[in-house]
Amino acid sequence: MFCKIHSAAIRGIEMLPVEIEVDVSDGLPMLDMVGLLNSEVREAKERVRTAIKNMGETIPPKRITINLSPAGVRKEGSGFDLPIGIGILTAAGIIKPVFNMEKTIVTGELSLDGKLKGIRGILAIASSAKENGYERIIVPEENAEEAAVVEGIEVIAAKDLKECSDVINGWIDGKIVKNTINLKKENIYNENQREDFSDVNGQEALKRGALIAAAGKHNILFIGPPGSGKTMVASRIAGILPAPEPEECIEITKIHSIAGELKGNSFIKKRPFRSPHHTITAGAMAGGGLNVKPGELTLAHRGVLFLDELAEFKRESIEVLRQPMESKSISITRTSGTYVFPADFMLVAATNPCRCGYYPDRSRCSCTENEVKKYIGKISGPLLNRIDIMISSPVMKISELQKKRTNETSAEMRKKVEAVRLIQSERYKGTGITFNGDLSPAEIKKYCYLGEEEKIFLRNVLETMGVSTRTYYKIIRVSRTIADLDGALNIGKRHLAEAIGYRSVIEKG
Amino acid sequence: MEDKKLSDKKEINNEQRNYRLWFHCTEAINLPKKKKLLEFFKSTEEIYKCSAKRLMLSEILSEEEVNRLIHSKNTIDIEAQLEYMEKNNVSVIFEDDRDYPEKLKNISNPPYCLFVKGRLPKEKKTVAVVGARGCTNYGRQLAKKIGSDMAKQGVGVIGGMARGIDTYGHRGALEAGGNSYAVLGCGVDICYPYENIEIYEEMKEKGGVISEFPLGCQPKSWNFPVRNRIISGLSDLVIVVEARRKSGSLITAEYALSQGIDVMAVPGRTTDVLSEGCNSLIKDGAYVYTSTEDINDILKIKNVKKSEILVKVLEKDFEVVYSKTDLVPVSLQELADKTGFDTGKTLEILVKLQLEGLICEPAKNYYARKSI
Repeated sequence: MFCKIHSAAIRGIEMLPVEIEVDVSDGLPMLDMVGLLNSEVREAKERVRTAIKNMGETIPPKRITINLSPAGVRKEGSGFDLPIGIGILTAAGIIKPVFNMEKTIVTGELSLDGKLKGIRGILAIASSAKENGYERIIVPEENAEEAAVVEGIEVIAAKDLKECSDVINGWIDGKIVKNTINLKKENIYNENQREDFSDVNGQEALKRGALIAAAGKHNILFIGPPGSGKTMVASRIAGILPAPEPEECIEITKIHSIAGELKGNSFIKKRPFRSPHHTITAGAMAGGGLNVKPGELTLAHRGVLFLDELAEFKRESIEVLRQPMESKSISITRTSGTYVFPADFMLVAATNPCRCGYYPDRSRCSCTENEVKKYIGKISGPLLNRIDIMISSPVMKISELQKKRTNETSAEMRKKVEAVRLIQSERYKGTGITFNGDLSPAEIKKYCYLGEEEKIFLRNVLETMGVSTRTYYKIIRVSRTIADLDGALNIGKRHLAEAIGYRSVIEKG
Repeated sequence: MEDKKLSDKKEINNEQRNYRLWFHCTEAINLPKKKKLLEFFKSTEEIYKCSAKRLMLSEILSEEEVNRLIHSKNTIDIEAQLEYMEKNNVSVIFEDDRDYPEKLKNISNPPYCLFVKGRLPKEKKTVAVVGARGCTNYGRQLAKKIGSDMAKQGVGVIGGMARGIDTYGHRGALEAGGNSYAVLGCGVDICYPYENIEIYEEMKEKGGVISEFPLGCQPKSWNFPVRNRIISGLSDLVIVVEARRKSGSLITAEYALSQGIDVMAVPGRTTDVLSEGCNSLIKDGAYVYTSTEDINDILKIKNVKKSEILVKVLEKDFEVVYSKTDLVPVSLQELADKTGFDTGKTLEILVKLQLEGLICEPAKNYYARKSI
């Protein structure tokens, strides 16, 4: 007898429908699997055989052939165990489905005793399944909550193979799981905040830089000696960004689910903060591998990518940032095809000013000016070109740290950021621009009006400080955000002056 | 210049010059042995024409050294060397030349010959501005000021063209339109460190680049302490702007003392590592620098009446921020803490002060006063 079960594989961050065809016919008893399988899929055979035995059924001693179609695409992941098991049972006549199996997706990993285990990327599978017209999806209990986020598809949670086969047979009712996660906007907030800006004493300069960067989505670089609080401030930036929209949450959860980075959560309601170590490879940064998986750039999508010790990163792992910073997505081409991952993040970087870290404190730093230049020069030029704000700060004095003061909380800062983002969304309505940080030189001319006096002021700066044209535009972009924070309609001299203070001092190309 | 070169050539004939050049350029034997040989044989021509046997008999050189010396007669192409020198506008001055600086004749172990690109110091008075390579903004500004003040009074500024203080001393002098001289630890055809190519080129016109090392000689670490005796020897006063406890600048100061040349040090805070060397010089009795007049007193130059200093009247808030700056760079954060202004306002004022030319930003978001 022949039967067909529908299941799904993950390709990039999209679902790929996979049909599992099982045929039981006369011949020497054997179980054969075909269809370009990865080793974990090939091993499914043993898991399924044992799980069926342990649920109290026996596989008929016949020739069983299993094909995973489309046969031309490499199948990977452990989610095929359950559909293969159901397929064998159906083809052997043990299960007589009461559902329309053509409209049902079955996915899950089996353990030897027949229990079901969760798999990666269930949200992506469920939402694509709905779009492809499927009516129900059978998932392991562990994944049920995540899958239920998708409205308009019936999610049935199963504990083990036995329960699953009973449900399909119609002997018991399936556990239909309803969405428990409130997706209403007011319910989403940046809940991460064990880390709050109010914990940061002093370092007002870094905080101010962080606020401006977050408000206009400017990329930012912190320069400072070890222990100056760069990492502390950077790790709190994600918390002052506006809370993600429901659609963004789904997007973020999808990506994290595929990468297996959910860490026990079934749904993510906060912006991601990723801080890869500086020894990271280009592959891990961009995503890749034989089974192309999202990298750090994609995991930071809609959030913050923090590169600590920027000067220590390998050149090639930094160079992969170029394309995503322009197009907000990264495409990875393999022989199996091109995968496009979203990568719209805010870059926050930190570096020491020199090798020893203490320049310009000459009592501790003996680096020559050349060595200082060389150290900072290691940072990739094209990356620096995309960093609007650069700010440096020394180590805090203990006396400053011990001063009692009330620091601005993340919530207060977030309010300011949200207000500025609102101004921006109104200003750029219908233009495709979202943030001040995205403005191109042509758009700057259009949206950043400078009065005669401001123009003269800026010209003076260009001449006396020897500022490049690229930096010139960065200054205007940043001053636009500062003016927005100030609630000013037009950019004034003081906004420009402050923006000049954040300009890049490392000029390249 | 051209005329003088011609007259030089008349004094010692070309052949003799070639022998000397060969003897100086050969690396077959070291300097003390060269001196001994010269004492023994009296002239370089004699040495050149000596047989190996006679050289051995002098009992100065080992057999291997003799062989190397003889061999170097074939390897060193004096004609090509001369041509290269002419092409690069390098002149060579020997100990007994008329142009050889009087000052150097009095020091112990005077250089046997000098290669010069540009010219030797002709000023009545010269000072050496030397100091640490990794200097602070304080040292940088002072070195520049001393260089420029001296240049304005027609005093030649000598240095080693090393990174840091030396460079800023040269630069101050050149920017003020004066003359500056660099004594290198490599051949004069090599600009070391290369980032100083600008002042190197400028000094060829306005001053000179001087070295005792033959052309093409690489900057070896042991060359530098040796050349310091020429820096001090050519000067009337050695000013150490910044130096660590163990510093090459202190070697220069020591040479100066043994040569009977005055040493002056710029005092610094006792806690500054880069002022330790200077302060210890002062403790040992060096002159103290507090203003240009101090230098003028030693050099016996009449003090020019100070032109009235323009005091810029600053707005209140600007004055508050400016008063918190110093010659030592202060960070934005500290300035904001000290003034009580928020970051945005402090930064705005700092940038405007920068535009006024009152302060500079030696490192990202660190600000220091410019004028002294």
